Amino acid sequence: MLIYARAEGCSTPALLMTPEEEWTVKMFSRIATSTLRADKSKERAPFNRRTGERLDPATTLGEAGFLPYDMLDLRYA
Amino acid sequence: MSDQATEYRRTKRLYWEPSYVPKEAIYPPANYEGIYFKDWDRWDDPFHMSFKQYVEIQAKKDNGFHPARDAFDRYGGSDRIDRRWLEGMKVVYPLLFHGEYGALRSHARVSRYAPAPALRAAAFYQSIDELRHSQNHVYQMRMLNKHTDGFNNWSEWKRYHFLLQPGKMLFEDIVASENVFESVMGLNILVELAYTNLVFVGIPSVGVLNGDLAGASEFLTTQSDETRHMAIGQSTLRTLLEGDERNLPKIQYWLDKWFWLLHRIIGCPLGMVPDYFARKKALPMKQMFQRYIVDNYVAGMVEDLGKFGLQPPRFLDTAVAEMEDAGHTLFRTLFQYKHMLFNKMFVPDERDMEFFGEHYPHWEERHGAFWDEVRAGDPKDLPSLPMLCQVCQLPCVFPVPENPTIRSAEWGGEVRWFCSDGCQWIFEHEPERYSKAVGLDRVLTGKDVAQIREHMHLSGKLGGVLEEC
Repeated sequence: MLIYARAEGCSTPALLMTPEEEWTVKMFSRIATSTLRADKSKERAPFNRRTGERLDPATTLGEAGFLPYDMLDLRYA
Repeated sequence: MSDQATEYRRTKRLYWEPSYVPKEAIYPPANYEGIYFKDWDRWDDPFHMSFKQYVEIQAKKDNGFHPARDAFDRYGGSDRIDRRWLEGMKVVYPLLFHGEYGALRSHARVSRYAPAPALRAAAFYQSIDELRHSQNHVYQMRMLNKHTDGFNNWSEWKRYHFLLQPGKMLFEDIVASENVFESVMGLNILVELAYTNLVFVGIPSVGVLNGDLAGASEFLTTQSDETRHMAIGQSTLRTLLEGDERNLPKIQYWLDKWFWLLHRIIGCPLGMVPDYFARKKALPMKQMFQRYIVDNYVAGMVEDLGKFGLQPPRFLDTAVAEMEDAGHTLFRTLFQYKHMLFNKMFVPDERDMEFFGEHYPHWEERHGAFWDEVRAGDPKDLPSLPMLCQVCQLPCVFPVPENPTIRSAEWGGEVRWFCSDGCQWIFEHEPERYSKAVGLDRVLTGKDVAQIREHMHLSGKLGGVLEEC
């Protein structure tokens, strides 16, 4: 899949990533946080940036309704 | 009648009524669709110049500039240019080349397809001007290439490097405008009337402080032609607004659109030059923008043409507000990509921060922590290109990367992203036109840094940190 990820409050711009469909939102969030070099001490919740929908961490990316080039937005919880 | 008047009359009448094809076959109306005007012969060139006069004037300019540049280099002037300034010029010159060469192509097209004979003649002269400017920028790069790396492969970087893609997009877009009057609006009104005083007068005034006398001469000889180009734009704009009130909506749209694109692609990156690449500083970019763009250009245009209903550019207030952060945001974003650049970046020093504190009251709060982390040893290098705006091709990081105004639209079964309301607004008005671009961040997905550098034709030790800063 082709999904951008960004983390609120992080100086890294949104980056395009290539996660697998069977990854859970939680797993992708953890990997994205690391790739974005975001401050891990701050808790963030996963959102679909385009729709504004908060995502269930247990859902797989394939089930989460992402379009190509959609964005996982990690917002302060 | 004076010689000049006679020559101008001949130039203006350098056409004929076709007898065996309709006039529309030679100047297809599709090239000025939606523009209303009764008598194209009435369009006037305020400079009233013949080709003979034009050649004589331009020869004098080149005969003055080139010997001065040669002398500057021969007596060690290039070695005395501040290193930081050179790093900035590595980006500025290829960008300017894009602009000038795009303008050459654009005005060659206007000179062929414009319905007004005098506009065709003026656009022909302008297209030759733009070739002169492009060549002079190349002369500058060739001279500086003898003294530092990072100028040697500019013709490849302007095609493949992400840093030069926005400029490429901007000027290709002007060239590709179907309506020749949109080209005149984008180039003569927004690029030249609005921005060339800032670029070719404001920036070299800082360059001189940093030892770049040849660059200043080159910018000023370029600017000497811009007055004529501005007059072409002003004359066209006034003629169309006076001629038929139905032209106003289209002209207002072009003004709103090109103002935003120029602000984003020229104004925002240019902020890095006087505020960062200039070790010795003069006016901060924020004040330059206010003086050259807001006070001179916008106020003058509204005073002159407001009576025809022309309004200030739609995103003017946003643009003004963004100048508080835009250059600072882009400089630190580029610092994160210094391992993928052809120029070198550096960490602002105490004098820089004193200057920022004096002129940008929010700098410490919004940008200070980033540089504190760099000084503490974090290189901040990122593994892949940032999200690029579908319309302007700049990173989606404005006004500050920690909280950017990213916007989206669904198009063709996928999501397109925009750096601002302005770029989204342009896309919504012309989605077919602006959906074609594919950002390098998408092209290079999954590539590692070495592969990205290879794609962008970067070799050796290009990029990185300027050590002596």
